[in-house]
Amino acid sequence: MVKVENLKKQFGNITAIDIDRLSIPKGQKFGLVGNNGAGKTTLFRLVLDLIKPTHGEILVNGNPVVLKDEWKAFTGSFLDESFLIGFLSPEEYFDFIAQLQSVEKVELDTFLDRFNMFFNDEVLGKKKYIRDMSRGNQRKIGIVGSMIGSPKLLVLDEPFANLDPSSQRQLSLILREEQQFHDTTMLISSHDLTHVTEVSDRIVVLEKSKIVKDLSVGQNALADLEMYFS
Amino acid sequence: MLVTLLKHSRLAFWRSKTLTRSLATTILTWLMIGMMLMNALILGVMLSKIVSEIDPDTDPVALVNGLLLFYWLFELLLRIFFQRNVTLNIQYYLVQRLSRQLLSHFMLIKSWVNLFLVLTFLLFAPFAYQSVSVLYSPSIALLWLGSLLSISFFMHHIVIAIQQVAKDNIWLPLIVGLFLIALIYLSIAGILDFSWLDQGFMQLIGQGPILLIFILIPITSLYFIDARLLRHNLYLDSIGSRRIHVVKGIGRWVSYLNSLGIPGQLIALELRLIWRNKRSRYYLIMGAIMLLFFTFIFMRADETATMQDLYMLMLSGVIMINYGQLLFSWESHYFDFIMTSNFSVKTYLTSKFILLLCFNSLSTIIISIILTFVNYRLIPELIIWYLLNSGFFIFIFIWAATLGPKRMDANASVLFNSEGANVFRFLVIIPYLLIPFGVVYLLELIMGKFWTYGSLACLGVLGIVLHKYVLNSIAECFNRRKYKILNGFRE
Repeated sequence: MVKVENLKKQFGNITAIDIDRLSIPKGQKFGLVGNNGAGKTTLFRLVLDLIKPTHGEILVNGNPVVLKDEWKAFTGSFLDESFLIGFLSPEEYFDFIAQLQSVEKVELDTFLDRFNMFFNDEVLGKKKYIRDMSRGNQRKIGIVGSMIGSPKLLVLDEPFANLDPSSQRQLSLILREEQQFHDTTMLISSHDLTHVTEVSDRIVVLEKSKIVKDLSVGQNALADLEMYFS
Repeated sequence: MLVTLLKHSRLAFWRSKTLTRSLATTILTWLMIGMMLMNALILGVMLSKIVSEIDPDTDPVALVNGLLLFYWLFELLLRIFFQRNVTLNIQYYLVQRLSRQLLSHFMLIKSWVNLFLVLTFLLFAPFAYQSVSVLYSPSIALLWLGSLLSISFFMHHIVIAIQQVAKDNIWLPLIVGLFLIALIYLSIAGILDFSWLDQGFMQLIGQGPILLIFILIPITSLYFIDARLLRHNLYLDSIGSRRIHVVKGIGRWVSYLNSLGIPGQLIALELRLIWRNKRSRYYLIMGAIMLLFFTFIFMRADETATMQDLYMLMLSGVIMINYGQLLFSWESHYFDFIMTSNFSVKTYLTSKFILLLCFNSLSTIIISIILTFVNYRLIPELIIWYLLNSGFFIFIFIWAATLGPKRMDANASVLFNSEGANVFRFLVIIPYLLIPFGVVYLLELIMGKFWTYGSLACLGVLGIVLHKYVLNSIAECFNRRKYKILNGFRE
């Protein structure tokens, strides 16, 4: 689904990403971990064509992404607040994305019903703009928005951050369900090792722009990772 | 401590993004500042000469004094709308161990360094030296200049008080502004006579430093009033935008636009943006006021044709000029979303084209309704300027938006805020001035009025008809600069 070859991104003299080869097959739940500044967000921004690679190529579904629009039709993403439209209410935001993805209103309503627990009655029907909501609720809106239209590729940067413990649990469940029903390829980064091992079947560790570990999630993955980071 | 804080603001200035981003921008910025100051100084030096040419028989000082009232009204008007809010960029001091009293004094002292004071000095100091000191005495000249500067100072503190009382409310400054415009208009039209003020001014100065003392007392008290207001307003919800608002609907319109496919949906989104963010809403209202004000005043039959051309060109595109100058920047906060959503750059640009076209059409319709009553002969020309705006300048605005737009907060405090401004975009105004004054004049000499206006209209129609092709090439420009634009919005 996603293929990266000889990818390098430099900001001036600083190398932010330096990956020789990375291939993420269809339907894989791909977890990305690493310390601050390791290059996780940069890699996701490169995949979403938000920054230009210094070298190398990124293919999504077999096609290069740079300056192309095809991938947008089947890719959902939420990296940070710059994916939210602050002056819309959550309902308007979801409506807007649904229209762009040609999802019918009825379909959208059924889709949103799935998230009643996750939203905890704090998001829908509040007559509030997204910009006036708490960080956690903003994140929930962004994540749910990215899943409208059942995208084949889902890119989420730190989806568990700013969420309360019960929302984290629900999110983990939601992501696993989504993958099960739609065979979604998921790219998820996180600092939370427990959650990321829960939702991924493969975990890659980035350190100082390079891939240093590539694990398939088995019994010892969490222990392995905890070892590594301590 | 106060000195350390002031040092910080000096650093903030020298390390600001406008001055450190790139050499070209820095040079351009300084060049523009330098040119403006030079112009003011030259005007100041020439003032005695200009005045003596206007009316050689009258006392030049009396003449200048007669103009002072207008100068003050204009200065106050400009200050109301452009004076920087003193509470900007103060958040990070709030939680430090600094007293509110200290912070309020810091903000006021910092605000003393401002362009309006410098302008007053550059404009009138040469005149005080050349004329007032010769015709009266050097000490009177000093007093005269001192009074002018302290009046400017006085206005500075009045405007701070207005800002602090008004906070986010744009109606108070707007009403004061409209009142000032009305005063200026009434005194130009000779309905109100303020000449007693000028004579009184000089008589008071003749009495020695009484006037200065007379002004200093209100300035000092205003300073303390301002400090008090600032102390009470030093909360995040007064200086930031952490207030919660109820969703405003624009209902039916939007559902109609939604049926027009993705460009329609993008326009609906942008209309919501304009209506729900303070700054964009304010730009729209300002555009509407300018439209009404200028159409009523300058479209009468006794104005010169060139000036009318210029006004019609600017007015039929007034909302485009106001809003279009910051195109893309309005959306800087969610531009990553725009770039990853399911539509192409061309669709995005098409929505911008249609939106600006609607703006132009709307303002042209309003102007032509007014013109029917004021000066209906101008309507055909108005339509030609409308076509030129919509088939030519519209693309220049969209294209210019791809030249390094900057991040800005569409919902930040409306007034006194130049965030997102950019030299390149400012330069777009130049063709606006060149067309009616230069090109049209030249063409008229060569091929006469009929063919000149005919070809301008053709150019406009052609642009509108062929917009798809033009937008295609702008989309290419956009793609070439895509990552730069995105990066600019992240800074």
